[in-house]
Amino acid sequence: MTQVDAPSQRRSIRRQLRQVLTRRRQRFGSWRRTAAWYRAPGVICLAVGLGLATGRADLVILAAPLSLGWVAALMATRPMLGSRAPSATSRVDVETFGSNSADVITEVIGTDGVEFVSVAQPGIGSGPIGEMVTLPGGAPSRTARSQFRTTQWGWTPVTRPDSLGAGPDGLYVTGQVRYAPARGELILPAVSAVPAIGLPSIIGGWAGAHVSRRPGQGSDLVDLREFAPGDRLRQVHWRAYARHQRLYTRRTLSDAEAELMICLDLSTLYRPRLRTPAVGAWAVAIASAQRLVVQVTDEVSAWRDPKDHAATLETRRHMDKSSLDHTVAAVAAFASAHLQQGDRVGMLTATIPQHVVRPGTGDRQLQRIRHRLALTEDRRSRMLPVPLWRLTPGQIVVWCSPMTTEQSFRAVAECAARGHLVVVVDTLPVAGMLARLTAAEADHWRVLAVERERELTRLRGRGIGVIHWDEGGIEGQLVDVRRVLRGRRH
Amino acid sequence: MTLSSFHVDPTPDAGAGIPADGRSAAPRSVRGWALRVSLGAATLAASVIVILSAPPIGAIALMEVLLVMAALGTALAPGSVLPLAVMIGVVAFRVASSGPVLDAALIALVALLPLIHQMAGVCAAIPARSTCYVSALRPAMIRYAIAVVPVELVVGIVLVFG
Repeated sequence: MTQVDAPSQRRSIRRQLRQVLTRRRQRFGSWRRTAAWYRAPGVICLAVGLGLATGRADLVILAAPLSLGWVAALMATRPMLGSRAPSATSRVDVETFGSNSADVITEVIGTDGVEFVSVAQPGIGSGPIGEMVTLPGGAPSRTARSQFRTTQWGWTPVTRPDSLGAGPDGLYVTGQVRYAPARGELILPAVSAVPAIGLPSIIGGWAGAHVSRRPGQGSDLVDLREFAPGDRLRQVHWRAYARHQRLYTRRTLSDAEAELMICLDLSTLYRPRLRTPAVGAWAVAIASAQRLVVQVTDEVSAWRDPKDHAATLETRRHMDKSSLDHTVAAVAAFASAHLQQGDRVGMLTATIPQHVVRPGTGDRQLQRIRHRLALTEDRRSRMLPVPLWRLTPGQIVVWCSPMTTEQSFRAVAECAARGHLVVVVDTLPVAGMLARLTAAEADHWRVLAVERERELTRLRGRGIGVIHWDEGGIEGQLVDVRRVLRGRRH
Repeated sequence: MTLSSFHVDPTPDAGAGIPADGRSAAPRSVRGWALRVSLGAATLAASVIVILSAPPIGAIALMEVLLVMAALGTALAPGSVLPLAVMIGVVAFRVASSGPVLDAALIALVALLPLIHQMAGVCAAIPARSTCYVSALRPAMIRYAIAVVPVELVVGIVLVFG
C-alpha cells in the first residue's frame, strides 16, 4: 500500500479542479448561468414533491409547463454554448459634428451565438451610453444606428458600446462588457444666434479696398428706414420726406471693416457647486429613487408637452454651466455674428500660455476660432499684462470674463485707456451658482455681487458696454450697449 | 430620444422582423421598463389569485403581505431571488388552499407561472432603459406557447368534460 503525503494530495486535487474548470471553459466559453437557470428546476422539484406528498394533481400540473419551457430553453441553448461573445464597435460620422447631431453606427459582431444582445448607444443629449438597444440574434452581425448630440464642447466621449448577450429565456448570459473602449471626438462649440454688437457708425481701423457688409457710415446705399432719435441729420433722405411728409434715414454700408479682438479671461474659473455624491447604502438607494422619479417625470413631461420639456432640459443644462462654458459660447456667438457681417475677427487668451487666432474673415475663420475654443483647457492660469496681448491700434476689444477680480477690471480700463473701444461680456454663471449656494457662501456672494455691480456701473459710465451672458436676452442688452457706446468719451 | 431614432440595418442574412428598408420603417419595439411593468403585473396577478383562494388565517395574512411585496420587488429586481420567492409562495398558497383541485385559478396559474419565470429571465438580461425589438423576444414567445398551450388544453378538456 502506497502512502500519499498531504502536499501531493493537495496538488492532485488542484490539478483535477483545474481540469474540471478547463473542460467547463471549453464547453461554456464565456457563458455563465443566471439565477433563472436554477429557479425553474427548484420550483419544479418543490411543486412535484408537494404534489406527490399531498396527493394533489394540480401542483404537478403547475410544474408541467415550467418543465416544458425549461427543457425547450436548454435545448435552444445547447448550440450557443461555447460560441464567442458578441462584441460591438462604433463609427462616428464626425463631419456632421458641431451644432448638428452626428450619426453613430454601432456594429455588433457575433450575434449568431446569442438569442438577443443589448448594446449601449449614444443618445441626443444623454451621453455616450445614454440609450440602449436590444437586438435579436441569429445573424453573424447586426448594425444599429443612433444619433448623438451634445451641448458640450472639447474632447468628449461619444460612444462606449457596452454589451450583454443572453441565451434563451436569459438562462445564460455572455460577454458582459461594462467598460468598452470609448471613442472621443473633438466637438466644436455650438454657435448660438445673437445679433452683432451695435458699433458706432464711424470706427477706426483697417479700411479695405472693398465695402464692408456691416451697416455704417459709407457710400453704398442699402435702404431707407424711419428716422430714429440719435440719427444724424446728414443721413436724412430729404426727397423721401418731400414725397411722404415723413422723415427717413439712409442706411449705407460701411466703407471700413471693424476689427474685433475677442479676449478670453481664463484667470478665474467658476462653476456651480457639484452635487455631493451619495455615500452609504441608504443614501445611494434614496439617490437612485430620486433619479428614477426624475426619469419618469421627464418621460411623462416629454410625452405631454415636448416643447415645454425641451425648455426645461435647456434650463437644467444652463444651471450646470461654468464660466468657461459661458465664455466659449459667447465667443463663438459674437465671432459668428461679426464674421457674417464682414468684420475681421480674431481671438486671444489673455493668460499664460497665450493662444492667438489672428484676425480674419469668412467661414473658415469661424472654424479656426471654434477649433481653438474647443482646445481650451478647463483650468485657471495667470493673466498677461495688457501690453503683451499684442493688440493693434483701432481694434475693438470684446473682453469675455467672469469679472470677479481686480485684474479683470484693470485690464478693461487699460484697454479703454489705450484707445480701444471695449465691450465686456460678463460670463459669471450667476443663476447656477445662486441656486446651489450654501448658507456659509451666501454672505460672501452678496458682498461680491455688490462690488461687481459697482465696478460694472463704473465701467458703463466710462463708455464701456457690459453684456451679462448668463441673463440671456442678449438682443435687449445690446440696445443698452449701443447707447453706452454712443455716449463714450474719446 | 424617440424610438424612431433607432433602426437596424439589415445584414444579408439578418433574421426575421428586421425591415428591409432600414431607416424608413423602424421595427416594432418595446421599452425595457414596459417589460418590467408587465412582469410586475403578472406576479401581482398570480399573487392575487392564490391569496383569494387562501384560508383566512392570521399567519397566512402576513405571508400574503410578503408575497405581494415580493411580487412588486420582482419588477424592480428580476435578476434577484424575488421571482423564485414569488413562485414558491404561489405553490405554497396553492397547497394551503382547500378549493377544488381543478378550477379556473389553476388555468390562470398554468399560464402565469411560466410567464413569470421567462419574463424574469429576459428582464434580468435587458436593461430597463433599453429599447427592445419585438423580434428579439419572438423565440421566447414561441417557447412559451409550446410550454403552456398543450397543458392548458389538457386542463381545459378535463375541466369541461371531466
